[in-house]
Amino acid sequence: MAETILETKNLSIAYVTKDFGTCRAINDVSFSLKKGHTLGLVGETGAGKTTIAKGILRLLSVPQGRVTDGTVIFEGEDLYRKSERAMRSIRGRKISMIFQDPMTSLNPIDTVGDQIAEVIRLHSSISRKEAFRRAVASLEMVGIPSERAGEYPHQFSGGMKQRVVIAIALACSPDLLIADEPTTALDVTIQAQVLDMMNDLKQRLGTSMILISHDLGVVAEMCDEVAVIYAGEIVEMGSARDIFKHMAHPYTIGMFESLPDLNSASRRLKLIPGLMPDPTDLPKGCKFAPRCSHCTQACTEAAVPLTELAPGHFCRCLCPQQKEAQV
Amino acid sequence: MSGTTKEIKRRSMAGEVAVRYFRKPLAVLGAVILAVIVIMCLLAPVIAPYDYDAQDVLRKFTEPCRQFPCGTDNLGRDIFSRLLYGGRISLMVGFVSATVAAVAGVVFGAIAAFYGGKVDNLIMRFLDIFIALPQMLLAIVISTMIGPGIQGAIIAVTIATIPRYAQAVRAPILSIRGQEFVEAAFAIDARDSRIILRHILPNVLSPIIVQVTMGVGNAITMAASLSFLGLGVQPPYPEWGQLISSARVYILDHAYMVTYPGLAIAAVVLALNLMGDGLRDAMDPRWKD
Amino acid sequence: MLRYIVKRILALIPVLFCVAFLIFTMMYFSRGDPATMTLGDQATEEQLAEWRAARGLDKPFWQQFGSYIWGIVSRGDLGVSYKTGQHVTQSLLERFPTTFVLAVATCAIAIVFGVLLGILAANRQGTWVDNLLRVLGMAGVSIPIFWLGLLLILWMAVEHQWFPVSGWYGPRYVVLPALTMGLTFTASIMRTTRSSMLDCIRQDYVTTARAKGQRESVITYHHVLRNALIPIITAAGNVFGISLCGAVITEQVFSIPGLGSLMINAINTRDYPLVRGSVLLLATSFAVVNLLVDLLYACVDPRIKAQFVSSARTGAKKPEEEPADKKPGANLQKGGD
Repeated sequence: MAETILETKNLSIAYVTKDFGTCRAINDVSFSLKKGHTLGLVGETGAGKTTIAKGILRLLSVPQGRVTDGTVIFEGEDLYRKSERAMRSIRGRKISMIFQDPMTSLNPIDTVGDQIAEVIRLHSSISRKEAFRRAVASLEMVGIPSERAGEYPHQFSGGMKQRVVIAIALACSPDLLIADEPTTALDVTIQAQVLDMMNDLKQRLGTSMILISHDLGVVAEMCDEVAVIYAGEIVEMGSARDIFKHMAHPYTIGMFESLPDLNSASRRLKLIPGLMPDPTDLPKGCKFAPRCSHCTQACTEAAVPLTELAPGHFCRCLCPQQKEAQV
Repeated sequence: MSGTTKEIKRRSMAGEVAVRYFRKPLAVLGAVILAVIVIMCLLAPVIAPYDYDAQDVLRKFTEPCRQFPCGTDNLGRDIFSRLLYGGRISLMVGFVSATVAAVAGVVFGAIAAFYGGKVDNLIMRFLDIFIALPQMLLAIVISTMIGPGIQGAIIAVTIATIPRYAQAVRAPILSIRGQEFVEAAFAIDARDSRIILRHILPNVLSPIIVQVTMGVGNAITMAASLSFLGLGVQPPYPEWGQLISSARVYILDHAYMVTYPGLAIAAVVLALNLMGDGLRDAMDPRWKD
Repeated sequence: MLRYIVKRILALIPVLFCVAFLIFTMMYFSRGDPATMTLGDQATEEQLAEWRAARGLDKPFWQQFGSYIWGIVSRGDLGVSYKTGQHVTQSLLERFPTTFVLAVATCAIAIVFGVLLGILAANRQGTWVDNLLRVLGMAGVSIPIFWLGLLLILWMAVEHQWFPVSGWYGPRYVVLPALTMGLTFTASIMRTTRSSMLDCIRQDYVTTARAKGQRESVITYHHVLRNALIPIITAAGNVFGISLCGAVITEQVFSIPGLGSLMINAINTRDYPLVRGSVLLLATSFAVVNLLVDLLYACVDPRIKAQFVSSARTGAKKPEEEPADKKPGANLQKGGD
């Protein structure tokens, strides 16, 4: 039984602003990740996925973002009890993060080799030359020829930039990699390449991964466990099989049903009516209730807890639908 | 679906800007200071205790007191009254120059940016010659050419600042022009002038407004500098720069003669800068932080 | 890259030619007669006419202009001052170092304090420190230079006698004038630095750097500041160019024998050759400073270097849009010099 590498416990994060009020981005999020596994965080834009990722690494924008409840346990240690200095030694070395937009994630005035070397030198006391050598090795690991180590980001295409970002993230062989929409900004063919590469590296280095995406296809390919996020909460969580084959929450079902299917002869796309609630003004009961076709009176009255439908398969719904998917 | 969307209050764009503007204390302060000064100067004939050239040699060099809030000068004239009357000149020169220069500059810049290519090249090369010299230098030379006086000052400052407005307006227009909604307008064969007026200009209005607001302050300072050098407004007209210039010889014994006019200039320019900053923030919330 | 530099230098020539033409024309059409100014009111009509003829002032416009340009191109001769009879080139060379020293001192103050304070304001954005600095910055930009100069004289020279009131006889004489211009320019550089840093602090690559575990101080200087440099360099170049270009007003206030006061006196006495010469020198300096600023961009930002090199190769017009976008502060012109 693989041990747990990361655990979030009742994590709640809010952004406090003067002009727009308090935005409760994440509420009571608890999940755990086993070593070597990949957890997918799925949800639409604005659901809070990136906030969770930043919350784990304590990278929230400081004046506005703050953790209002809960904590994050990594390798048995409470990350929120650590000093900033201790966190800095964890970032890049034990936990790495890949961001969404490769076009802006790299410093435009440093060579790619230097940018990879930077993370290497931060976490080991080797010489500049040696660090650069290792950086070049990292580049080759992600499929970029070593001659290009002295070039600048603007000289690379989007897909290659993302590979550089991955190289930076994996340069110190982290135990956990958090990938925030790593392929969203890339076109489909490059997407496939990058995902393959990530999978390959993951297996070689034994890295655990949290993969954030709104693309169900990507999640299906890469993840062992999946958590569906809606309005800052986990509404359904379980193994990939549970979610894809035995989806239970109306939102999850709605999400899958809205995928266009080449095989069926429908004329209109099936959508979930309405919009996600305003995070500064969340409804009292189930956050999905206003849009749910199975909504009952009880759903709007009080917050709905997570219930375990089957071993390891959780759902935050008072009337979960048992839907067998033909995925 | 009820409960999923909030009512969206509709406000005009100007109203939206005004609301955001008045939320900021500094911007409001700027507007207040400017309003107070402008009103006081406009009402000079009414509220000034003395005429600006009323001499009273017996009272010369009086320190600031109840009767003469800013003291009197070497000819016994009340400095406070001179400030009020002089303000009318300084403010007028500033506003007129900035407005005319802005309009001319915008026309140049818009035509250049809109038509691009050779026209752009021609206009910008021409303006480059003027930009090759710092503003103040240009103003000095033009002022010499035209001769001293209020009109000379206005013309000099106007011409010296036109190129900067043209440049400032060209960049946003170029970027807007490239956007798709302009291509769409071309596609339906709208007349050029219509495209400029209805589609492009409203979008570049905000940087222009900000520039002009600060430009007025710039113009006032330039005019005052010209007068200080003896090139702009001449005595006995009490333009603020001129006041400082004439007071300079007496500075060792009667410093107040220099402080008050300078304070007036600084206050107006500061107010205008605060307003310009506030407007910029109000019109583009991204800039806030 | 060298090709680009050569191209830019060559491009200067037509501009300077046009500047010369512009100034020539303006002086030609200005009121006031140099002959009367030089010889005085008592001179007779004959003497005046003779004086003018000796200097070619009775010839038609184009001939005058032509011989002026020919003089420059063939002999490097900028003419002879009407008033002193000295070669213009010599007068300019005498005065230039003074102004140069003043400009350097001003820039040193403005850049060092402006950048440091700007970084401070950007890092402490939203706090009282930032707000105070912003207000001070605004005030600094609003104060007329000549007034500030006079106030500094009153305070430091007269009341406390720390520094001399005016003149230019040693290092102590540099302080007050440099402070006068320096303080105003500090404000504008501080504002530019702050806004440019704020733009960069929000960028994704800063988050990437943090996710690497980088320290805040290194992030501020290595990542943010270096990317924020372009508008700052523009502002700094602007400052240097403006203070080099005569600091006309400051030299008047402090009675400094520099290029600016030379030019003003020449203008007042309609000493045409001197006026033309000093304006040309100032325009050239300004242009050189701008060129250096652009070259500095290329050193700082590899993307710009690539643009320059490719434009030199293909002969395309230098793309102005990108630097223009990166110069938010450049258009906030100080009204003084």
